[in-house]
Amino acid sequence: MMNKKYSSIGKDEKKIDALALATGSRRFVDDFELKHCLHCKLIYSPHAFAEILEIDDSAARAMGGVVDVLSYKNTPQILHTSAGQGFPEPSPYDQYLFDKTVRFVGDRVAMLVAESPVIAEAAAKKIKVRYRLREPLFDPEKAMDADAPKLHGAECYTPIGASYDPQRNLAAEVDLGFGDLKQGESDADLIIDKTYRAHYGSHCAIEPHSVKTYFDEEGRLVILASTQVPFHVRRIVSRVCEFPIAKIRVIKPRIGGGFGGKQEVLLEPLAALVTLRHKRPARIVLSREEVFQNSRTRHPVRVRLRTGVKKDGRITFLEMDSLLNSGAYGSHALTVLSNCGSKVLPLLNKIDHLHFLGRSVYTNLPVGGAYRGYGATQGYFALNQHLDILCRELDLDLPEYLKKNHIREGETSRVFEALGEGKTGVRQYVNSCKLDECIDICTREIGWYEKHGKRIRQDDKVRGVGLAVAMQGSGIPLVDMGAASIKMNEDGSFNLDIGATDIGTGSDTILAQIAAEVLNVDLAAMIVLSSDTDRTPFDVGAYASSTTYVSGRAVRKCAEKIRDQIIAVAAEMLDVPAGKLQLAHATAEDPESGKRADYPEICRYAMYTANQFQIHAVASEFVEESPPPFLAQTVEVEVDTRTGAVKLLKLVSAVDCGQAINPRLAEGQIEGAAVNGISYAMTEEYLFSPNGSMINKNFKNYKIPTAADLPEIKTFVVPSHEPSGPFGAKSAGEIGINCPMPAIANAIFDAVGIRLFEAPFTPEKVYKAMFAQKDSQ
Amino acid sequence: MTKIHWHYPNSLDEAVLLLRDPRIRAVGGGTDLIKRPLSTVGAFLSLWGLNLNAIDLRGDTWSFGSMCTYADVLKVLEPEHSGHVLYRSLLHAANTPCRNRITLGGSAAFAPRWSDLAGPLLALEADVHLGGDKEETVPYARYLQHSELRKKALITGISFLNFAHRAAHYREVRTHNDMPQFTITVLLKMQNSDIREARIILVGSEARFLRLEKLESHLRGKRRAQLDADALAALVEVTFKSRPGFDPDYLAHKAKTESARCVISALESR
Amino acid sequence: MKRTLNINRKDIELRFDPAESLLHTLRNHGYTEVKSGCEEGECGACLVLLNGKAVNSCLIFTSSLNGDRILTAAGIGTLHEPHVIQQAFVDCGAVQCGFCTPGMVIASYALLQENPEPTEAEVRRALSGNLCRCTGYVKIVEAVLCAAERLKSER
Repeated sequence: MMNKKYSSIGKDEKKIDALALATGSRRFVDDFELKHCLHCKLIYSPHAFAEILEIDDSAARAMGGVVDVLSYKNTPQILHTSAGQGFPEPSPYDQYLFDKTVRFVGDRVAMLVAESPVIAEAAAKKIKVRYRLREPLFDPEKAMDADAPKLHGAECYTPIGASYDPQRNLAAEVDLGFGDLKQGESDADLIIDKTYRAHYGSHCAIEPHSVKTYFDEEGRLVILASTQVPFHVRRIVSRVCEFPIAKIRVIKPRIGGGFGGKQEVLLEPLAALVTLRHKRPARIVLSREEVFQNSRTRHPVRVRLRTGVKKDGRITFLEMDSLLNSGAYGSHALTVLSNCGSKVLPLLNKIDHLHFLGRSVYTNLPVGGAYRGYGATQGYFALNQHLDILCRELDLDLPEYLKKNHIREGETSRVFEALGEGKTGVRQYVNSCKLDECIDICTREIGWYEKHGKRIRQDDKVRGVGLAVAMQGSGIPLVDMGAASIKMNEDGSFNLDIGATDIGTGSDTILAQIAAEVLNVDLAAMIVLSSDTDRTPFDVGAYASSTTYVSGRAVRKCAEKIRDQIIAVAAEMLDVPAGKLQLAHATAEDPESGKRADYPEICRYAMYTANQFQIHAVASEFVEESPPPFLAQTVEVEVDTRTGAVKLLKLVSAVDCGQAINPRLAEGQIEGAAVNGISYAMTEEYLFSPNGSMINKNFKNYKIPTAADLPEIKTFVVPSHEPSGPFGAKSAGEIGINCPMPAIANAIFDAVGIRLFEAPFTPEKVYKAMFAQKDSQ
Repeated sequence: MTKIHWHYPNSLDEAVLLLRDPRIRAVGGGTDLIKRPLSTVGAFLSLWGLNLNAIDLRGDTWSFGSMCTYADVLKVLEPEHSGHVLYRSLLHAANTPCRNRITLGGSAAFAPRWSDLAGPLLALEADVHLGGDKEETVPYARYLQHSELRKKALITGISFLNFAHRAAHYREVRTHNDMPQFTITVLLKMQNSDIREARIILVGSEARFLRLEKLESHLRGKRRAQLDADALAALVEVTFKSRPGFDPDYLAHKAKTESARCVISALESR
Repeated sequence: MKRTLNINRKDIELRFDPAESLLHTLRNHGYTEVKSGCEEGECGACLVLLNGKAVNSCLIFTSSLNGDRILTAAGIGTLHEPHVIQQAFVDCGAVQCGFCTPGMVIASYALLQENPEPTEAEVRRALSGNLCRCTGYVKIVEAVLCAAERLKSER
């Protein structure tokens, strides 16, 4: 085994906060008690597109216990984006905290501030708003028409100078390619041209978005936030609330799941404003309904794929045309769009003629944002079905086809360089890729060669199997940065302070494992503090599958500095040359002389004996590449030929995430993402009324699975080693969500010969497709 | 403070008297109440002090107090009566914690699809006992038809005959924790291998509570080998209203198919 | 309103609004291990044991209770004295964000009280009132089966 030489890396260490969470002692934002706290209730637009003519809050303000009503009239009017990204953000500046125009059903109109949640709720109903209605735009395909309603004015802009044209409802555009499509077309024996549609989805973190703010004893603003991006929260709040960064402290306690939904800086500025205005603590916690409609979603994307192929399966050209529905604002509109190509197309790196056209457009519908998978999920839904279609057309075996055509170790793709996250990318080579092994495991475990194409039938039920593959990234190259600080205590323990943001993923644990490995101590010797902007160094936050790779490298570098200091102190103390000392089991030893000192002795020496100093170091890392993890997933389904009901019988995942720092936690990431993907494929769906209002904004009607709904799920973490990663690690957080939807679609086709281009695969949809097929035959 | 008064009657008479005020709402399991706007409610009345939770099998009659929860019922029926139509119907109703709270009385009175009780009660041809000015026992089918009964009287219990039968229950759901689009309850009285009597109830269609009489009469005297799923499905006449996310024609098709399957599953059950 | 309930084996006097849910009353009195995820009885994060039965505290009016026994996840076990189920959740990697965990622990506890040797299918059914978005339930189911096994060998 590759990890034999490690003491902590590759071990299934228990998550360090797990017991405190299981016994309920670790706190989430809303678990902190604040005395004399003000409670806030947002008021939302019932119209998809309208101008606010008048807000009459007199009746509400007259109620006892009502403290304030915020709206565009009394809040700073600063254009910004709520996308919690690095600075300057690649998303357009097209939002105010409160605006005079509302652009989707659920857009903010005002916020009631009161002494209790009950009063806030009651008073919110007394706000009277007069609107002038405007014709809404719901169809993204028509968004760029000359006569389409325009959502945003010319004052909106993109701070990074990306393609952006509010006059055409164009929130972002990417247009690139190489080679010559015409040549590719003439080389082709067959052209396959299909259109796939990925739909809206909600993150459904079980903890709703929450924030609490207060002034500390010294008049600094403290923000307790349920966020993935504490440092971006501090920066954005400072800007839109016009309050200095030096006077803001953001603390991230435990977070009840994020999945991208809490990368958005939605509530923090509002609570901050209340505290700034009234010098009192403030609390905003969204209801489940608000999370569905008023926070952020997965961007729906329509992907048209056109490929030319030779009879042997070689792809002569590929053209991807992606239309992303950004909803009312352009949060992550450019980068999700980019990733729909940049995280997907490099997988097939042997195509000479390629073109990617991506457009994100505004509509008067709920707003997209970051969501696990981040465009790749939408792109892979198209690509994996497309390759299944291709193989069936040419009578090729999909697993073998994929193995022959995917990018391999030592290879690059021109797409890496051409397309980054919203700008040109970075040239990089793949230095670890075990996708062949992943495919082999998945096909073996599902019984591919016994079942594929066999349409095994029992009574009304027919079985089929499907396969999908994916890659993702590990952070954003040349953008993402993480940092760590470590200091040593006199009992041989270490404070590890990291900006990295554990939102339930276990990053506190795996980053501590990395430090423990370098320092030759047990995990228990690491005391972890993460994401407190006053106490920990900077980190971009939990997104883009970056934490293990980017922050992990920072932690390793920092721990190495500490190790060097420990050795230097021990050398002085023991009077042996530093080069002779070895560290093992929290002890420095010179094997030759047998002289040794354990960590408590070394630290005490440094603190109290001679040349006193604190053993302490800070290190940060930014990365120049983003090594992709790889994944294969296979599923077996059973389709009821009478009703169209699809039952998932089994799902197998095999992932190459480099060296798993903690295999059990890595499995947990893949399993959770896989089930999120299953759920997106099978039941999740935004339903809208004709006026653009989401009508199923609760768990009663927006269905995610329970434990009783899921089949056998097997996960394999394939041995791998990424040379640039900390101890060989890559990422595992997002990739697992990319394959269930296409794999299930492919399996349904395998069972009943129905190709479904849009999920969820409800019984009704499958039945109607089967019926239509019967009719046409 | 919300201006809501609570009553905690200790006697049925007191409770019934108070409930004549339309602004007073009875609270049993209460699982459907808490998110409702409370503006129309003047006061709540807790039913928990009335001791309406007895369960009894006396002679040939089962009787259950209206404050029995689904979990109480399941526990009493388990394991000897786990083929009973009531057991099969309640086993997957709502979700696990809700079954600990949902009461027979509340579900009988409001008949929500979420915790469908109408299906098994109609199949059992159960009676409901009403407390009120005068105590009254009425067939549940009649209770459902006459909304004034619901308004003026409080269900204190339900009862039905104890007899041998085979049963199956189907919930049209997307996940285990879902409001069913419809439910199907099948109860078969057998004579050796022949169906002597079939009672099949479809809850949730346009008719809300539908007895599949054509199918029932077709089944009389038949045995498994004589049944064909397609033929059974064709005997089901049902229509649905449009609901967001569901096509009524598809639901009708599904209901027909699953009704036929449910009959066969009941027949093959033990 | 005022009422005394027995919470985690102590009689506690509670003050609450007449229309308040047990969830809010408990949280307002510091029992923040009871989580609020949807307030409509769908997610199970607010599960507590009421007189020994798992219930959604968001669906119960505090006013409808008097003297009843309530156990929360912190009443089942603490950081210093965890219950076997809580330890199994930790050991099996069943805790990710941990927001659903107290509710999952309650559902598991109720199950194992009634049925000490459940099958996997019984575990899955017993947990079907609890939503988790992080784990895919794989390791949660594993943890409950592991806890059952450990409790069995303790008997």
